[in-house]
Amino acid sequence: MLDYLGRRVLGGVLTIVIVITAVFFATRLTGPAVEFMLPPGSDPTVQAALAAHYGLDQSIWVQFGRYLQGLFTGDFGISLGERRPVIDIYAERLPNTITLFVYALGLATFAGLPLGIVAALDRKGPIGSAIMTIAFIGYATPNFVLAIMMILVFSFQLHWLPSSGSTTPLHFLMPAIVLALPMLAEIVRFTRNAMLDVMGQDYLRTARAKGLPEHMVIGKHALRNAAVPVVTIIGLQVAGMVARCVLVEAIFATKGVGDLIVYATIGRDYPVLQFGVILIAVLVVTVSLIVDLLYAVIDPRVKVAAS
Amino acid sequence: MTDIASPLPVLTPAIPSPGRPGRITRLWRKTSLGMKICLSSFAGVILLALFAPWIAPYDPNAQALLSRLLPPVGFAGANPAHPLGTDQLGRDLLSRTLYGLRLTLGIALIGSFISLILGTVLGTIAGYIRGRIGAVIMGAVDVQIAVPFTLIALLVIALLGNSLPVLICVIGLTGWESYTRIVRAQVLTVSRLPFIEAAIAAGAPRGRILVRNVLPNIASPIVVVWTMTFSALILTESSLSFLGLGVQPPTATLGSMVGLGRDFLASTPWIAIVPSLAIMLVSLQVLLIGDWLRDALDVRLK
Repeated sequence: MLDYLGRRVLGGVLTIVIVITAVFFATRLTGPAVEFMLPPGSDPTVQAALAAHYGLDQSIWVQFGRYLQGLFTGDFGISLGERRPVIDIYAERLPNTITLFVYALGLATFAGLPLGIVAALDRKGPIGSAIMTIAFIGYATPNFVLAIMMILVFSFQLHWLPSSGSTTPLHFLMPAIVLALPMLAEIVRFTRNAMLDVMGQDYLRTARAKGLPEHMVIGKHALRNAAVPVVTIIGLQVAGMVARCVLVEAIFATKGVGDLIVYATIGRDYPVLQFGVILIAVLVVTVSLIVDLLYAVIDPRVKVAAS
Repeated sequence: MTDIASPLPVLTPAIPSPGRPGRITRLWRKTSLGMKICLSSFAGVILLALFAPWIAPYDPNAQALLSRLLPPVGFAGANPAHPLGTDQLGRDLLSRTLYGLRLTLGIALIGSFISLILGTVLGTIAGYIRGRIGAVIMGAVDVQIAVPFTLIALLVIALLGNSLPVLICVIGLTGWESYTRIVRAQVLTVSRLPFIEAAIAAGAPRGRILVRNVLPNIASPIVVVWTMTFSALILTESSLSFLGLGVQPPTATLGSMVGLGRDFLASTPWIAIVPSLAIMLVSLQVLLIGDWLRDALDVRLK
């Protein structure tokens, strides 16, 4: 078990090291950053002074060393657009993104699980088919299309919800729904399939035969065994959700990390973009590690297989 | 099969039509009605995209300020000359949607072939040659899975600027890791089968075995991954264009049309709705076809 964990942690650390290195060399090798900071045709001495100020006149290895040193000491550079530390900007933005994520994850999980169970219990009935059809459409609809439609209906037609911003909890409702829907659809599909697999097993017949009430059979015996693939899919979906969050935040002007990254791309604010990529890679690697841990807790066979 | 000049006429049964139906005909007969509709309508979409320059009633970028912001037919104030209405510059939305569809599908098609070739070559190397190169490739796959692709796309676009070639390359990098994983696993499985061992024992060169015996046997999963990533590519392209990071105006793709229409949602929503519905339709069709093909070819994706 420890050996298995050790290997997983090592793999995760290695991934992050590769991301950090790749991001650094990608941003430095595609052209002098000074050219983006100054208007075209500016004085060469000014350019040289600015390059010296940011340490861009030294060799690439010295720069790489300083960049690594900065990462370890918490100095992530200065935003080229806002002229203040990148870390301060992210500290301001992160709470909004976390709120959005908690809403979306909660919605996807707590709505997806029961819907999936109902779809499995009513496999051939109208409710089950309706749930699966809606899940498929939710899965196939592009995020921004859904966002546009929701803004149209709930903001402009019904005037129930604000169309953009991030000041009140109501502002987070629509982005959270848009962010959650593909994951919800995925959870419904997997819960249904896992439940159908489990419900054909002999031990469920045994549970029913010994006279357990149906809610105990489903809730305790079936759901616990069906939970394993569902936890995996939640873990796998988190990476996709991070990616979608970039788009969703940009559409709803949620002042979060995703919105920041999009505007850093448009404005070529490398330090901000660089830190965003690293931050998200660390987040995704951590989440998949936690999911692997949970996996071992839920399913004892993983522990045995790993050791 | 069908045109064998029979040397043994006695053994040939008297069938009026020559030969049995081909594989595709048999597949078509087994297909459900809903799927037939989906396949035919997707063929229609492809034809529309292919012949957009001949079908489209107007030049997609021609502005006509006198007839701007016209609603689609069926709403008050519509002009039958512009069946889907016009945008804020008086450009015909039907023409723009057709051209946008053409560009969106074109970019996704080229991009999907790039990632198919890249991913398949890497997966074959990892599965067939294995060793240290294989380990490095699979390490790269793990890194790619850890970093959401949207971020890589944004980074590349920030570094190289947003032009059509950059966009196609970015799209071409999407999903290579799915091919690599599946192809590697398949190559590993297939190379252990008896007929490959027989080929090795017969002294066939390794490269020849790969091309003649291994690759044809893993074609089905590759086709299935292709259809399944194709819808993801359409969405990636649309999302980037929607954010204004894809193809630059005035050229239309479906995503950039929705992006531009977003500013007019409150007053003239059809500018965004028309291309949104087009994207939804295409992505739904491609997903359904992907699912159907996976079942029809009986491919299990891990």
